[in-house]
Amino acid sequence: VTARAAANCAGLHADEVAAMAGDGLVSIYPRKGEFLVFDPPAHAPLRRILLPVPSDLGKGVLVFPTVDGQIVAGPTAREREDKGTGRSSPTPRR
Amino acid sequence: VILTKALRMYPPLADAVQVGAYAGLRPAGRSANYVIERSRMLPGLVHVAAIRSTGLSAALGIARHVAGLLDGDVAVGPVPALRAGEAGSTRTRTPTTSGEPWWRRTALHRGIPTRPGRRCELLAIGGVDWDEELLAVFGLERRWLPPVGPTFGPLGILRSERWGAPIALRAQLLDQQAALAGSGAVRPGELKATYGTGVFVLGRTERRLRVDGLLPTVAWAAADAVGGVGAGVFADVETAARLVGPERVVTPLTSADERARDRDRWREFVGATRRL
Repeated sequence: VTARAAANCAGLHADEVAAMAGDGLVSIYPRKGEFLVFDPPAHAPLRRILLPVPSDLGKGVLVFPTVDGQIVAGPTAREREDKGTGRSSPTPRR
Repeated sequence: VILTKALRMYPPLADAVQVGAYAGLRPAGRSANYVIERSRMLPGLVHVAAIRSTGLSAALGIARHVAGLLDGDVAVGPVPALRAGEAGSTRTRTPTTSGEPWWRRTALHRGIPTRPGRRCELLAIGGVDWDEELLAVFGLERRWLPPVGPTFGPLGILRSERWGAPIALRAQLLDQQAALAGSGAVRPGELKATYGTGVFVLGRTERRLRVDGLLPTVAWAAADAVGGVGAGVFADVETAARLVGPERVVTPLTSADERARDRDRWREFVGATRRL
């Protein structure tokens, strides 16, 4: 493939693609984010989005209701080294 | 880790049954984010790296910026083939700014001075003006800030020779509502979905929506027309479409003629509002 122009939009691997061209870019590391979805507790409906005051580390964990009646909590921001583990943790069974 | 923090804000979650989870890996820059620059080795190559979640709404602007970086220099010939590099051989070129808070790293990387107090945090909640006390706390002068005005009401009269009659301006669209129109969603029932924390759906409605949990963000009424824009966070876009009942999710305008005509109308309209 030949092209007159190319954009390196390789996401997690943008630094590796830059290295192929001989460029030193900022190094990219994976930051894993995970959201958990809940059935709402019967007696305590959540009617608004809860957003904590941001800290030095980031904007924090939100808890919010979806219009279709579920509750979502997240995201986490865990710094990882492995760029290939984007799957969610297994859902606990009850 | 999620649960501890979530429980502190919403204790009833302890009794809730977890029914699912979703996850992803975000690409984060070690020392800076939004690194958009031309390759120093290959002409015609632009790196677009470490784009944060806000890159979703910034995508069109970033694309324009990338095109600008390439402008006039694209016709230099084929981009040479990339060579496979050694994994992990990248190095950090830019000076690290450790010790600085995370929200200033990219500004520092770009040499952009940051000032305390972002505009939106200075609004007096419940009024249509800046908060005097906050301005004093941050040492900001009112003349540095744009005026704050209402989004609806009798805002003025727009005139153009081509229109035949003057038009009363009853509401103005800001930020995301303007982006909704910019995406081509101008008729009732058309909506735009943004994927991020859940699916944020913004749509043009014909009447007031009665769906619980939806937020009317702009509403207007004139002699012969009622309209509004509603928004909400959904788990998926199909649910949103079912509850809002749109005729269709936004698709690009069909013909080039139609696009050009809409663009002309829009320019004329914006020009008229600037003269107010």
